[in-house]
Amino acid sequence: MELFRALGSLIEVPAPEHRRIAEALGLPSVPDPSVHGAVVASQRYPYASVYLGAEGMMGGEARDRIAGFRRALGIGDGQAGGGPGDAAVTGDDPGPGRSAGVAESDHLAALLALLCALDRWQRDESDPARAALMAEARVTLVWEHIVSWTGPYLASFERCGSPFHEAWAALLSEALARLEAETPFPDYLPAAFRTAPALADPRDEGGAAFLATLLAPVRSGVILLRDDLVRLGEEAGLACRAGERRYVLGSFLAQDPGAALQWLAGHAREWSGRMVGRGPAPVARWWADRAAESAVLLSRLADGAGTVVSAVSVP
Amino acid sequence: MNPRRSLDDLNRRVSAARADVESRGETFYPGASRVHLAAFPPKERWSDWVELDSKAWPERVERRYMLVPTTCFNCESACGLLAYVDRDTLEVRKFEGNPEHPGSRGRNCAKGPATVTQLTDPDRILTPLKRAGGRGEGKWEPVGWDEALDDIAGRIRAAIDEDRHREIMYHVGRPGEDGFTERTLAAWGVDGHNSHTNICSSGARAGYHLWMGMDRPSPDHENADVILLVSSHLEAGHYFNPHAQRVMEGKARGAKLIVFDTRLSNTATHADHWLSTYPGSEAAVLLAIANHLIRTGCYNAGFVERWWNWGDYMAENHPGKPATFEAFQRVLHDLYEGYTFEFAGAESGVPAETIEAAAEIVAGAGTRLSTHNWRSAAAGNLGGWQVARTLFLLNALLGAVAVPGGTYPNAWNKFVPRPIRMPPRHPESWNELTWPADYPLSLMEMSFLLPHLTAERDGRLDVYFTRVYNPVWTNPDGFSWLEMLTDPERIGLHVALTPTWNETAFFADYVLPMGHSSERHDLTSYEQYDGLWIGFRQPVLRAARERLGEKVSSTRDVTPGEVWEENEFWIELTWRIDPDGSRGIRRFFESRERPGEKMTVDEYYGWIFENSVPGLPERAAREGLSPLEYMRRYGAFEVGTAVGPVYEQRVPEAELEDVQVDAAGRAYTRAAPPPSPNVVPIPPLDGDGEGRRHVGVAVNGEVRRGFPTPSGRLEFWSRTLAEWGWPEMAVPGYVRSHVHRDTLEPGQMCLISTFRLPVQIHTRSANAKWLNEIAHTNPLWLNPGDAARIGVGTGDLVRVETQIGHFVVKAWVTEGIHPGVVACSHHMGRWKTGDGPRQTMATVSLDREGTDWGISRKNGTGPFRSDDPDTARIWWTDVGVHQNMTFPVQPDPISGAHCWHQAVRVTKAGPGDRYGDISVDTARSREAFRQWLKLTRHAARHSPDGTRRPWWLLRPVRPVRDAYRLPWNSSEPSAP
Repeated sequence: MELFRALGSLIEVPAPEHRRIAEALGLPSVPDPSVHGAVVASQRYPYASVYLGAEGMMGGEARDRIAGFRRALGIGDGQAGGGPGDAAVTGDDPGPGRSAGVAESDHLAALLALLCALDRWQRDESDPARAALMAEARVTLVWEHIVSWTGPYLASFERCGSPFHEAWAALLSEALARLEAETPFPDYLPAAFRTAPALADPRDEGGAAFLATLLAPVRSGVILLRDDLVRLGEEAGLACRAGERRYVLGSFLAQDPGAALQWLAGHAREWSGRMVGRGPAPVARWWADRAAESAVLLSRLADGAGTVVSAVSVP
Repeated sequence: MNPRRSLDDLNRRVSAARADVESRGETFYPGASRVHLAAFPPKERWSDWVELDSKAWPERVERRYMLVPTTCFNCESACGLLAYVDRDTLEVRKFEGNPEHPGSRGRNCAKGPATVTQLTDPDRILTPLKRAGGRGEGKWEPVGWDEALDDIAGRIRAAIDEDRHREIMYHVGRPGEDGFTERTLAAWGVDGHNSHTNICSSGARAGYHLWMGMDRPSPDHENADVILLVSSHLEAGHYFNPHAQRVMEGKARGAKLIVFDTRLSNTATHADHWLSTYPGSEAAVLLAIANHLIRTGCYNAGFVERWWNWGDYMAENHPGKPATFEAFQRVLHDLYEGYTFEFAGAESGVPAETIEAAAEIVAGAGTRLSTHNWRSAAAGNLGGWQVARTLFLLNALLGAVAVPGGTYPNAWNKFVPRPIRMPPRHPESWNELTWPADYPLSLMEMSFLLPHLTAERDGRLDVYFTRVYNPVWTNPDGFSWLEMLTDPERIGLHVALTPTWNETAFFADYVLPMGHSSERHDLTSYEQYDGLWIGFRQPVLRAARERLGEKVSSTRDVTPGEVWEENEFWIELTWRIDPDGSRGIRRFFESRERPGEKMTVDEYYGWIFENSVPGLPERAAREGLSPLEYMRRYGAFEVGTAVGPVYEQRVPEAELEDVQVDAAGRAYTRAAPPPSPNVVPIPPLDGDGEGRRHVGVAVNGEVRRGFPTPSGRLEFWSRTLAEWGWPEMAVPGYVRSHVHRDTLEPGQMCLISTFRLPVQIHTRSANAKWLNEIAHTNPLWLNPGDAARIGVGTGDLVRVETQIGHFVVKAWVTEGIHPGVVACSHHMGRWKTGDGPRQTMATVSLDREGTDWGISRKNGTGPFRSDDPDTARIWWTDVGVHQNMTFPVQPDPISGAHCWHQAVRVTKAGPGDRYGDISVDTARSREAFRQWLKLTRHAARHSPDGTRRPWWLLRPVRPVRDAYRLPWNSSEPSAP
């Protein structure tokens, strides 16, 4: 399990300590912090809430679920701020029932460290009933809060241009696949999937909701990176304006809604195909289906682009 | 390759790599909280840490630092700091938190990082100064340390040789090292320790002391289910940073937070239940909660039966009833049944149903109830000590005492390592100026009465040290202090040891510059969770230079100008008091390694860390360091955790020799106490009179440690109070405050002055520019209803009249204050008459005509040119108003604590009133002193054994037992 904690730590801002961790794992050289900034910090946010939250942003109900999960275990829920007591991060976990707040409990590093800690607590527990509870908690953590989003998230690192991050994502995918094979998952979908509505139709819910949900993976089934938007501009012949992703998307739709929507529909179709085999079968299937549904809606919207553009709030 | 095998191999490799790195004491994973903004440099890189220079932005200029730990000195929390020492210039560039510190865990409030502004303050005192004109004239001349030391030592030597020990006094504000100066004074044989505590925490501490023998609470907020604070503890209470972070962690776990606070403080805003109690009614509300627990049977009867001294209580107070626990339970029920929710509601102004809801929550806490009162209500009211006593009653009822989530006594969560030399001496005389027999039960010295006692009882001090203390400004009745300090008949020589100019130092004869937190040595330990730790305050440039291979023999060599640290100062002064050793004084500061020479701080601390801190030598050895090197490198060490309920510990057989158990269950032994490296103060308990010492209490046939109280148990009933003249106060009860509504005259309101803004540092904010920028005014909180009645709005001037004078301040109209109550923050209103700190002191005219004193403001602060470009950017002019000078002394007759709350009249300012005006008649101050003195019960009339004070009560620098004997026979006509 130390492997997971080590892999989790590598998605944090590069520090000199990462060099020996990467060496131990046989990964390429840890890149400069600027590469981390370009690849991770400004594009592939390592927070579960971004991918599982209906708003597609950090925090909110998705993070609250993880905080509640931690509270139920009797450890800090992460809302009190970080510090050296951040046991789930440091590995010096004091054990269930003792507070150990982490700054942002839905960070991938924190989740993988907690997985590691749960494994240790379970092994150290002498009471069989409590050990069984720990095992159950571990299954819940993996199912609800880790593999529910790591499939598409790790897929987004493919061809990202950083050999270190590509190798890291591949290794973590492999380790998670092994974990999935050994874990008896429940027969229901993760809660985030069950509660998240599909991509908003701008004709019904307006352009603002459409843009917001397009950027919320659990709504659209798709991850839209800044790099993807640059590619959209290049391939659709549109000017890519500088700004946040919602602003850029709105700008594309204002310039040529048909072309922009066609590109997005194609992206969703491609994304749907990429999800096959990514994570446990029900999860992978859910992501593929959600992306496919979005592709269908986007294609329809592209066909009637005139009505869409009026619905979208053009910046 | 088999993928399963490959992942297993990687798992093993990374586990082995981690074990290898951590076995060297290094960090495998990056800093502790890398996930979010906070990041602590890994400790193995503290000797060479590289950061970009923020001031060079947008250029990327790298700066190399040594990170050297020290301990914050800006409040008593003693949080860990890391000084960033520039390797090229050897200047401290900034301070951040020390993640290795077990109490603060890398976190700090604003006051910690602001230390750097204190170091670089352009108005800093850098040279020892000697008065050149009259006291208070503001004329100074530089003086060498040698000349000053010889002068001061000569006077002290003469006083000792002439048996005038009483004329030497050391008056401390911010404590430094646990016990250092107490031991110094003991070495001198002088009962001259005087602390600020009676204007601070002694009210609450008296309440705790009477219950459990130890005088401070150590609440385990982190593991509590219910947290009950009688304070604004999340923002400004004692140990607030270490405690606040644990309160929030407790809340994050689901704990409920109940806050008693008249004001809508930041703490109140975090509460699940905020009870805005009328000042002084807190004990009534707490007793209503206690009554609920008793009436509904929701208390821990097993704990009460086992650990309360109910047997003593029944025997002394209900001799006609059966001496059974069941009978006691019935008495307990009857005792508190009058404290209904309705009664508490009427007293406090809080709806009865709100109190009931809080009581229900407390009732559900089980043993996980953490409570805390430090100053707040206990410091504000007549009988304030009963607030702590009634608060702890809840813990005692639930058994939430020294168990996870409960409240611990401080002495079990505090580690004071035995020093290299422990003077066995005790002063042979008793100092009546600090421990007057009028107040035999006062927890600490009656420090704030000094001007009145010196005036009325012919008191004289030949050498008076004010040490990081500013009584003129901090204490009530500051003009009486000015009268004393300017009277050469009362004060022969006044030496101000201070890092910062202050209103008291202006009236000194010597001003001797002392170091800030990164310029001095101290060893600290405070009760902040269920654990034991020590923190090392050290001169960081000394440690930095030593890391670079230099040998530093005196801290003076690395401080700015001629600033010095105190420990070396006291050693040097002691040596000069007894230059040839003939007085038997200097031997306590003589080197063991080099007999005949002075002890150095390296030897002093090196010995302590090597010999008195269990586990530290081993921990240091694992990193190839000596214990002193380890502490200089990391700044803190955790001696132990999970101390637990010490009272339940069985006394080991080795300590049980010829044991006798008396009728009350107290056990006595002939076995000597085992040596302990921890010399934390514990009350001395009398033996059995036959040569046996108190060792514990017999519970169900086994001798347990119990509590360090006369009964060995929690003292629900205090025999001490009962026998020393206060039988009606002997159990937790409710004392109607001097500001109770029924006591106020028509038109009077209660003024709360016991709160402060969390960025202020008593006196030493005066040179912390960042803190001054954040907060620099203290308007009067006024409820809209009261404001309408008075006819003022926010920003209007109001005149606040106290018993002895008045001050003029701006109004702030807010719903955040209880109707009928006004509030004004202390720590504000700094003033100077001439030269002095420019960032936060107003320049005033100080006028006197007989006993009529006045201060009127000439101008506030403003920008000025200095070496620090920031001083030209000062945009504020206000510095607040000094209210404490208009408060009379109001000593509680039992605890001795000053009762800060004031009965005042608030009116719209008149045409002649100007902002910051202060006016006082010190003749009225003296009347107030006499008026409150009448409330006392003098030891000469009430002592049960002819002594001045109960022997078992804590006392810094305890004199010999003979000195406890009263000089008067109560039957003599001349007895007081």
